[in-house]
Amino acid sequence: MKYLLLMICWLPQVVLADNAQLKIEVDTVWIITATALVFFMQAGFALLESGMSRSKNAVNVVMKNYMDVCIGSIIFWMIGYGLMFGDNATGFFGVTHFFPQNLTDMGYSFLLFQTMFAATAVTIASGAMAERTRYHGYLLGALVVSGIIYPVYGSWAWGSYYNGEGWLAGLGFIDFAGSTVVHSIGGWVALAGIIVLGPRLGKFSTSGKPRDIPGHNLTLVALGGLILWLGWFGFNGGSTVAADTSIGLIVLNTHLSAAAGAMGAIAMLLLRRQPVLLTQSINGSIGGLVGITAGCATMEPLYAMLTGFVAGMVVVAGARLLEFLKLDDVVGAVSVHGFAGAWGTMAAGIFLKDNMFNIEQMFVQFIGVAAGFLWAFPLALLMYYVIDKLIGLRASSLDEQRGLDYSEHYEIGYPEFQTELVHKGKE
Amino acid sequence: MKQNALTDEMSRRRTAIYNGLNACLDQGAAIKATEIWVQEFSSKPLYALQPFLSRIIEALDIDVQRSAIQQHILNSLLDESDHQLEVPESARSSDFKQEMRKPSQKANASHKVFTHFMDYFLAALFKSDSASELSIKVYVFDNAHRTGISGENMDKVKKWLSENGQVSLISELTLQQMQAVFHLFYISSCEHIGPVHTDRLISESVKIVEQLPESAEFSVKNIF
Repeated sequence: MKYLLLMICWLPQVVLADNAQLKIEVDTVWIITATALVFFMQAGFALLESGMSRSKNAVNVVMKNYMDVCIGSIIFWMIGYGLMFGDNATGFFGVTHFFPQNLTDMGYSFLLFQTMFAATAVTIASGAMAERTRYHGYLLGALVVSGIIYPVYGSWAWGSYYNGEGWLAGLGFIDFAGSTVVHSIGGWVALAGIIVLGPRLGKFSTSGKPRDIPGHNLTLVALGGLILWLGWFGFNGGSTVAADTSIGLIVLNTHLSAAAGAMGAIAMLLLRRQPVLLTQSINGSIGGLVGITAGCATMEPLYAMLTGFVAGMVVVAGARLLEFLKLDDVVGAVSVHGFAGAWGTMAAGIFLKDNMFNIEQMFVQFIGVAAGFLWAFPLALLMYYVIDKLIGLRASSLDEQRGLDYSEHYEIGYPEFQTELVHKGKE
Repeated sequence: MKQNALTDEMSRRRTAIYNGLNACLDQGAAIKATEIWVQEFSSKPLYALQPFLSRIIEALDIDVQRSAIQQHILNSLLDESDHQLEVPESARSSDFKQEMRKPSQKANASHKVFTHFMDYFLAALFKSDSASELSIKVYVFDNAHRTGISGENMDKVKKWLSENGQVSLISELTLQQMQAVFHLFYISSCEHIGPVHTDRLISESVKIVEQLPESAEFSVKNIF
């Protein structure tokens, strides 16, 4: 009887302790799995952007994506993480946890997951600026984006992981996985980049009419788009930062929005009596994914679809707007990440579960979107302008003619067609 | 360095031709025919095969079918494996180094390739967009100073351009100057007809120019 009483008192505590440990373990497994999926998105970006570029620039595009991960990861660990998630007393940036060491087990998992987000934000600009950007100038820009531009805004919306709160988070700003924090910021940086660079040689006719410069491999584009779609399940699903039952709704919303995004893009193309292009359809899907990223945890599936559908339309309309403004975005990154991200962030407030069309929430969302633009765009514009003056951002017209694979890397993506150049370059 | 590379290439060709001949002739005839190639044909473009075949059939009184010899030589030339027989010492007595083209001949080849390429490219360009012909020429005229070509030669380039290639393009242009002249046309062409159409025209012109015998000496792709 005594033993029975002891067991009754002691067993629940053991079970509870075991459950708590098990929860941490399962959370960790999920975060690391999601991290791997987000990392895999880099492959998607590389394929998509490379496929949309001409063959003479394929290596350059992939190299930029590859180095974005390397630079983004190291700089984010050094200063980005501290600025974004360190103790944030002012609400404007963190001041601790630079060069983070001796974190908790969960802290390391969180750091790793957030590192992948930083790498994603950095790599968005590479596609927009493809085919005419000097490699070293671009990498210097990537360093500033991952070290300052992205983490400072991130601290406003998501800080802090330790003490304090970002000023946007304090207002009640909703951006669950980063429609604005990651994607719009990347999009606005890309917008600044293409303004400083100017269009590719011959992108616009002498009368100002835009010309289509097709990429060299649409199969790569499709594969890249599908890999991004897959990776986004980790991007949004992992943003719970815990193995949580809400992941089902989050991933479902993500998937539906991507599908609706392609439909929205196609609908917009049909409305405008334009041909239904594979590239635009894929960009529509990615626009849908970007759009739902903010509200995927706080929306019903019907509204997730609506968000994605509108995001797909925004992507097509945004691309037209950029062309009208004589801006040359090779892969449509500004439209997909910047414009669709801004729309998605607004949609997170408009379609907020149990509190739809709340004007106050919508206003907070607007403040968040505007703050993102006003922070990232002018700073990136200044940054690229200074880089252009100091070390040169725009490749010469001769390099553009020969292709950046040759001029920047002496490594040709398709040597069957450019053998002479390889030998000449390496002499 | 380049001289060594050229000698290696000639040795490779000699080995290939000997092996091709050896596959269909007796060894004595193959050695003699190889000597003829070294002495009389090694300085000529790789595919000047027909005159060589005529020469050896006549000189050595060969009764093997001409097409069979040609096929064996071509197969051997395309064979990049290292299983080919060494050329016997007796067939190496003639040194083809002395037979190689002189630098001026090489310069002639580059000049001819460049001129032909520009002729084809510009003809196709102006045909596809005759309305822009004047604008393209004006652009090149205005920016010709960027090519580094001296005053007198510059005038010749302009004359060549204004007379639609009826006047021979000067042969004094260096490779860098040829590249610079082409680049001006490339920029202007991209602006007027777009980069995709421009690349297509270049590709078509390259295919035509690569048929020239001089292309074996100087690849047109060096101009880009």
